[in-house]
Amino acid sequence: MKNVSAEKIWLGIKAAFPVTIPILFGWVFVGLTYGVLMSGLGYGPLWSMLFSLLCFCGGMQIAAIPMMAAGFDPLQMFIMSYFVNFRHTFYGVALLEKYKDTAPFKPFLIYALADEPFSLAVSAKPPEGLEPKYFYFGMTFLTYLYWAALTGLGSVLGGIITFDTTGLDFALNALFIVLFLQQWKEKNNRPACIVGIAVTLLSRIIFGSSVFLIPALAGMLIIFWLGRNKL
Amino acid sequence: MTLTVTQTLITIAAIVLGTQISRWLPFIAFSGKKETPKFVQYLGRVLPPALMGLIVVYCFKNVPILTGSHGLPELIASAVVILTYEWKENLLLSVGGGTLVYMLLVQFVF
Repeated sequence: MKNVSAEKIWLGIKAAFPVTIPILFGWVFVGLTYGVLMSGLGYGPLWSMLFSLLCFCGGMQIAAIPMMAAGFDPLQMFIMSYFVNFRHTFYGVALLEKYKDTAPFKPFLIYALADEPFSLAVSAKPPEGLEPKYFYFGMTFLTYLYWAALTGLGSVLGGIITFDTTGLDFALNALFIVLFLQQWKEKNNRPACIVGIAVTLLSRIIFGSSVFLIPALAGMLIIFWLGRNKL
Repeated sequence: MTLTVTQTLITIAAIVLGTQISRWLPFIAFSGKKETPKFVQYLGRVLPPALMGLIVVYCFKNVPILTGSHGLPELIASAVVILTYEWKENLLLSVGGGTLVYMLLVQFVF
């Protein structure tokens, strides 16, 4: 590949590693659980890793387990995974600018645009002197690797782990809180921060915990449309 | 396995297709040849903070407010995260500290 240096890729991975540590810890519980549930359905570690490497969508992968146990229904699976991941379309809109000049990594960055890479791309600062695309690649690549490795490990170890990991997944919540605070620090961002929290909270209260994301996204669009000359 | 190998592979393909459509759509729709519409540019500016807010609420969507521990462990641990971050602005310190407090609370206190 032209215009890409292996050395810079390595620098990007090294620079991204510290900010991805919370994700690694945050995923221990859910990754191992996923592996255990998959092995309960008869899928070994290689299957879990194959799902993770190809799908890379934790929430949907977990939702797919009972659906697979119920029988073969690819159409329902397709529709479900589109709607469960519908928010990713908004992530894409939010990252159009940042991901503009990221060739040749762009297809991979889009392929793996889950919650965690998105929030790091939005809030984490690429190091000085390194083109941001190497940093974006580094953090996406690392999170992608963690997910595949942890879900694979879960299928092997899940049953024999004795260390009490209850509560470890709070690391993800904590990470998102910090990334949110970084957005909040920027005064111009505050109205949008408030819209995001308020609309989602309201939607959660009205629609319940399983279907509130789509109404929340729709509500945000309406508010941003109405406030397009003010916010 | 309830499904055969072929059925499993088709299932994976269905999940990949649904997920990838959601991720590629904006990049294909606004691929740079024409100028991105003003409203979409504006969304690109306001959505990052708004979506971080959405993700934070999403994390806590199943916290029981009216029953059980009433969300107290989550509240305390979140306060630890916020206060330590205001104090030191160190991501790993806040995430590590908040998580440790949360684990101690749910394992030993509540």
